[in-house]
Amino acid sequence: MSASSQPLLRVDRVVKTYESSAGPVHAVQGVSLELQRGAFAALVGPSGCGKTTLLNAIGGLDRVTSGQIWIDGTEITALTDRETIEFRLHRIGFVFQAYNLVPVLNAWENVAFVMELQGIGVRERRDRAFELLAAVGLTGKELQRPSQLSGGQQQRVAVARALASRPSLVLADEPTANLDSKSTETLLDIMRDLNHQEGTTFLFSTHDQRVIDRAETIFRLEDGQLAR
Amino acid sequence: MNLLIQMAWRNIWRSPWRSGVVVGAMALGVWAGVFMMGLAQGVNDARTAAALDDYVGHAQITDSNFTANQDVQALLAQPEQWTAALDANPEVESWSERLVLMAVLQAGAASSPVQILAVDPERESRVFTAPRNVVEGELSSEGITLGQKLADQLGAGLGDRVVLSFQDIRGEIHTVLFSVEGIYDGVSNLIEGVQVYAPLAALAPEVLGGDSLAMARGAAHQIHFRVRNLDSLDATVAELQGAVAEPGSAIIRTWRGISPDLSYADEVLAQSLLLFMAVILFAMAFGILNTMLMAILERTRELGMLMAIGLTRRKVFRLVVWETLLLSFAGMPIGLLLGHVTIAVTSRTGITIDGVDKGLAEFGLQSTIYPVSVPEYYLPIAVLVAVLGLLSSLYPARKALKLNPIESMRVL
Repeated sequence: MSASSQPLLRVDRVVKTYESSAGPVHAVQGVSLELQRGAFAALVGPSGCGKTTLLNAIGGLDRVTSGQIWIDGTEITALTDRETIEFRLHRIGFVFQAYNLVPVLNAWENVAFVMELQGIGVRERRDRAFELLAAVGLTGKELQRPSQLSGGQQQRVAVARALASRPSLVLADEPTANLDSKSTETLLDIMRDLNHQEGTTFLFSTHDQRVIDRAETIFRLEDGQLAR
Repeated sequence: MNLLIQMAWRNIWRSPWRSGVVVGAMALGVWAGVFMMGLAQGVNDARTAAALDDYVGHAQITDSNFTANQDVQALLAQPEQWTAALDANPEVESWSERLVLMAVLQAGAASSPVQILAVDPERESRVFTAPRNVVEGELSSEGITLGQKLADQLGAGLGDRVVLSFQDIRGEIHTVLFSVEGIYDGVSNLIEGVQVYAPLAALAPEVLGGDSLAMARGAAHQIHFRVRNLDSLDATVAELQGAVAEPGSAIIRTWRGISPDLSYADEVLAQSLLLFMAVILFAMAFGILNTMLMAILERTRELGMLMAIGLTRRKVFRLVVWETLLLSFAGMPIGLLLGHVTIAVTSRTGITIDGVDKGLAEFGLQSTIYPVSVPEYYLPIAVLVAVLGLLSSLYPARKALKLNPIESMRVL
């Protein structure tokens, strides 16, 4: 099988169980899925169905109880903590529901921060940050701090930041949950364009119908299991 | 500039009031420390200068045997070669020969052990201030001059007759009658209670026991001299040693050798001042630690997100350390500048401490203290701030290291 025909993401019988005071919580129960390179996919389901847990596991933010996850040929479930951080830095972009921008950095610095961590020179990271901000429609807002931007604009900065490291996969956890309709449409348009132009693979966790309508691939989760 | 450092600096000012209080407290602490250092240094310098002027002198030429056991027989060999060298050296301001002997002074029914300094009054006054501080009578070439404290102890006054008993260089006991011609007020009460000035010309024949050769040469146990610039004292001493062909057992001792306590006080002071500063900064470190802990607690979610997007634990640690160091260092230059300015002003005006004149005089001090600028301590202070800043960053940084990205991002 050639590299291009290999799925970008392969989740194989992943189980995630939490211990709680009320007993074990089976958040994800033997989920297996594959995602092709360049996909624009959504992990959907009601609140508490395990979407975020699975997304966190795919992003290497949480350890699985059993099963394997492969991204771009690397089994991330077998990596050490240090290797996982390094892998995330170079291969995965994150967009969070609450934007999570650094308030003391302005828009371009927020975008450039990941590149700085990658060791990219200041001129290159500045150019790319400005370029990405232009791509998400924020030309002229480069020097503004998050507190000076609207929610929709902040989320667009977050998208630009997620793409800054040229990741193979962008994971977006409920990215439109805090946005109004217009901002949601704008953001989805931008992400779809970037998906087409840069070939970046997007995987959303969402229960927002507007996102679901735009997704090309949909994985539906119910009670920690993929619905057939 | 590294974005991590920029972030650290900006993070400090997210809570301007809180950080401002810490920066202000650090500035105040450093100011207080620097000013106290300047004050202590001023006290010490004044004490040293007063002691050098009053009774220690800048340097002395003496026989090594006299230094070792105050042997009255240990006269300086060929003193005339030394006085010639002193006269020829342009750095030497003045010199004075002394015969020094232990004696018992009897005034009426009272008596006291004393140290007699047999001097030429005019020469002695050019080297030391004590003979110039004669408050009653004069430093006479015929009678003796007592310190105020000794005069009070013995109940002796001007014109009173006193008897000095001492051994001459042949071991014979001499008893000489003098009248009190002067009473001096030195900077040290300890010295005032012991040292007595007697005229060299009158006492030398008695001390030398009729040794005409010694008398002809101008016998002396010590030659004290004063230089124009104290900083060049060591060089002048070296020149004098080189200028004398046959020094024999004669040695030159600078004030550090004559009065090691003064020199030792300098070293002890330097160490205790830094220790004092360290105590102030140590207390400050707890304030900084507390501020940083609060900052970490408030930014748990943000730190979790940064770790999620690729900030390694090492860099999280570095970020917290940078923040703590910058917070520690922000107040330091302000404190140094304030301390420097305060010292610059008070070094001109002086600080008078009323009501403790007598207590200070016991230590050879005046009641007005002139603080001295202490720039040589600024670098050690900066190092202390850095070390304590670093130490106070360790606990908050360790807390930050233990954060779990997912759990942290759940924190509201």
